[in-house]
Amino acid sequence: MKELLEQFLAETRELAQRATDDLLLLEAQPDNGAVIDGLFRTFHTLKGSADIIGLPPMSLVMHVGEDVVSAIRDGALPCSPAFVDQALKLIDLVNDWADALEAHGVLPADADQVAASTASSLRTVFPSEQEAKAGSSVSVAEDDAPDWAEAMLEVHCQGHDLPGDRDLVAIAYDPLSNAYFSGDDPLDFFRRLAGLVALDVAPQRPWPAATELDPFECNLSIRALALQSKEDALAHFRSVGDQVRIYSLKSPKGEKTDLIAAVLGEQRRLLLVDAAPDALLGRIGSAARTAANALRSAGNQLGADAVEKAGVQALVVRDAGLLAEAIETVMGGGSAQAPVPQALPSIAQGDRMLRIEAAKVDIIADLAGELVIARNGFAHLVRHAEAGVDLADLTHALRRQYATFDRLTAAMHSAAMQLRMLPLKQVFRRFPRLVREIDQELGKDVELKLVGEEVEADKAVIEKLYEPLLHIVRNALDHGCETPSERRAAGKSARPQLTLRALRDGNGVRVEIEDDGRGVDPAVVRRIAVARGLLDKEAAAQLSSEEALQFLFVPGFSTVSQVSKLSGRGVGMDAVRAGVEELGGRISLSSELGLGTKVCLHLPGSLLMTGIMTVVVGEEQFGIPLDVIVESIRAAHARIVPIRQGRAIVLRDRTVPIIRLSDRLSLPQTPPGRDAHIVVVSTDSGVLGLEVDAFGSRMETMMKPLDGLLAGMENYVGTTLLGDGRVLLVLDVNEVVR
Amino acid sequence: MSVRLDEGGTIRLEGNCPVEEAESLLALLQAHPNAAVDWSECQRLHTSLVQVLLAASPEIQGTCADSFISQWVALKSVRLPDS
Amino acid sequence: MHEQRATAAVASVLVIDDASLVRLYYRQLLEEAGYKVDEALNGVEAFEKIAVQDFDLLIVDINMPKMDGLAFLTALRAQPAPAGTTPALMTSTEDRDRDFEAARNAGANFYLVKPVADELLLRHVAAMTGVRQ
Repeated sequence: MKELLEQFLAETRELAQRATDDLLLLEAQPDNGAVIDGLFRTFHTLKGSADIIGLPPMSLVMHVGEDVVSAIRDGALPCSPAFVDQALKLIDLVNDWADALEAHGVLPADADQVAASTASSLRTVFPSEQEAKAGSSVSVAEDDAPDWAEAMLEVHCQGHDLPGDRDLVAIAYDPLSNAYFSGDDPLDFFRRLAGLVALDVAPQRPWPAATELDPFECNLSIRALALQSKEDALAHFRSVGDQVRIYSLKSPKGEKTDLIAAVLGEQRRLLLVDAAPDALLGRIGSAARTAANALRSAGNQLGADAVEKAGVQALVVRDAGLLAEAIETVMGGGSAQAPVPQALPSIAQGDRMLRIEAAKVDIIADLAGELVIARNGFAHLVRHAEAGVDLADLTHALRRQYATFDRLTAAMHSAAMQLRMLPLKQVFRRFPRLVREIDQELGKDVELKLVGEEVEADKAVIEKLYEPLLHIVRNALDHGCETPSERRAAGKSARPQLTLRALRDGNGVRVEIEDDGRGVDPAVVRRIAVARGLLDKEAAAQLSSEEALQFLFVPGFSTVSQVSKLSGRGVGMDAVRAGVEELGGRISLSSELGLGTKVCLHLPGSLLMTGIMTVVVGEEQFGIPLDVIVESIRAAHARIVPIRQGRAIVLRDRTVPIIRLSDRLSLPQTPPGRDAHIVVVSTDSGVLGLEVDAFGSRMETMMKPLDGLLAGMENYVGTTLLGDGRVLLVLDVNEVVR
Repeated sequence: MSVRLDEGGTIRLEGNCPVEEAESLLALLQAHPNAAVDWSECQRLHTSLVQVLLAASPEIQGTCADSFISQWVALKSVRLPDS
Repeated sequence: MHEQRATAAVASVLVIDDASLVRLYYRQLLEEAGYKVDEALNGVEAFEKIAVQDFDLLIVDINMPKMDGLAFLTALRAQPAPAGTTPALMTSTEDRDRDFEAARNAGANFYLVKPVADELLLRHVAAMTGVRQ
């Protein structure tokens, strides 16, 4: 919960600041619609946040604030100086509360009262009629459910499975005769009411003669049953609370079927809405998936199968009604009787399937066979051991068996990795449309070429490649490619060419993004790098053109991040580089001024994930590869005994020497905690205990070999990026203990 | 035009029928007491028009395209005041 | 040496909401219940995520800047399967008129009013992703 609260505080303060800015701006420009929209959104978010954290006083004041801003936005209220004053006070209050929450973890004791008085003074900006409406509260009926509710239940819900675990309420709503005038649409409350079960509409007083009827005088009495908690229903009718009575009902029977029925019912309704032709298949497909899931979730596999099959049929003939009928049939209890075209395959299964070459499967099947044989070999060894065979013989046989297993698991691993290989096409095929869309705004008439789509890479590489690729392509379109007129002036063909190319590159894959645009000017890069303080003038002058271009990838180079329309966030090339490196890849860029730019991504063909455990020493964190770790233990310091020059601990009758990691890494020694934390590792020099200050977490990660500045460092095998972007050094344990 | 009288003498409710249309609907029903009302093209029906239809109880044609109304407020399910 | 991966049966959920607090809240709630959760802060970003990964459920807020939830869903439903057929649970505050109907017209498979109680959200997510309750 702490994380949530911290985020809440940070966000609340930021939103409060934004609201303040907007309000001050509104004071000068009361008619600025964009600012009012922004203010509404800010209030809305503040209210939502307060709801999530569970701060009713803040919810209340923001709710009223939102109502007021909404009225201003809709033109029902002027944006008066009085409003700005009140709203600023409201923001002050929110800030005060945020401070109190941070300091004490709770709102001040008087928060409820302050909220009530703030809310009512905010409402003073409403004209009196609206004020009365906003201020009313729903009457909570304490008495038993009236007869009409029982009768409705009987009439409407006979034979239907109604809920056991969900509340059922009866709602009586007799709108005031001026309800239409005050802007209410009484039935609309029921339209938006979740879980509606039954609805009756009748006149409050007998109808007058047709000639005497006043169309604007509301004379209706509405009764309804809904699967809702009383609290939710009360909240729903809050704005007309004085005209509504809500009663809790005992639900007759049933189990958790209500929610399932509600979900199924909604799929039916969704299918019966007339949809645009291009959305029809998406709607049918999503309704089929949802309905089948809901049935499966309730344990009705038969019903799920029937719905899935009807879904396929509906997709084939493009008729949503077929699926709606099948759902209705299942809801009616006839789970097996839905119209079922037997011959058609199930799509829901197909969606999750991976196409795999038969040869790849054969290899795995062979390996599985070998593994079975190897396992039988163990059974044989066990029998020998039980018979009391000579220990040396047994050791020898075990070692041989281990070698076999080692080979088989390695082969199995590599075969499994092969299954994960996918063609680059999976990413590339997204680009023609994307480029077209981006180009429509830019008007550069770019010609996109895709080369090498059949080249394969690991599924994880493919999945993570899209984002960096997108940013590079967007950069190329934005900055690299010229407009047709610029190109003609430069004597080039009118259409810029953009090529996405994939090539096999040793064990890995190279992806190139090449344009024939204006290129990057190294002189400009040098100038910016100096201006950003990344290097001084002289150093910049000494850079070769090629070296200068690499500054594009340095964090801080692009301070004005390009806020793109597509992602809504600015992403510099430094972020792209980080993304590529996270995949264990490298990025490079070459460019000829006036001729074009080429970005190369050098990617690993497969991702070798390494399991590591993090440990803490003093202020620092390190990774230890899981494959060298035997166990990690906490032990009282007393269990560690001095032995000769060193120290050791006895574990299961075995003496394990202990080495302080801080000593080996020449880090300052930290005062000992209550227990010693020891990672027992198996090394070339035998089993040892590494003493650390604390254990971190286990993770599976992409490890990068040391390069650049780190290349010469002993004691480490590589680095990996932590979730928060920090670099974690992974220990070479053999080196450390040497 | 969300409430109109067509050439065949049927009153048609079409598209969004907001509160203001209650008066037009009532006026048409008063002028043509035997006209049927076709609401199959009505996407959204305000409560005030439901009330007029209840009070005047004309012959109704088609299924209301406002799915909420057609599902929950189909006039056949409506109680009479004295029943 | 290869850490055990999450079981294949885990359902993946993409939370699309501009309010970071809401996303964090859903993430915590759903991850605790064993779902795999990803986030997007508007419809455009959601498209980018869906382009490279299939999800079992989308939780879509209606009221978002840039591409709002309704526009997003309408566009999504025109996409080929599996992206176009991903079940979608739409959320919004009750105050906005006609949201329920608008959500259905856009192709939402269910609709919940914010703030959604933990239990209610979890049960709907379970139902819509086929997790046994």
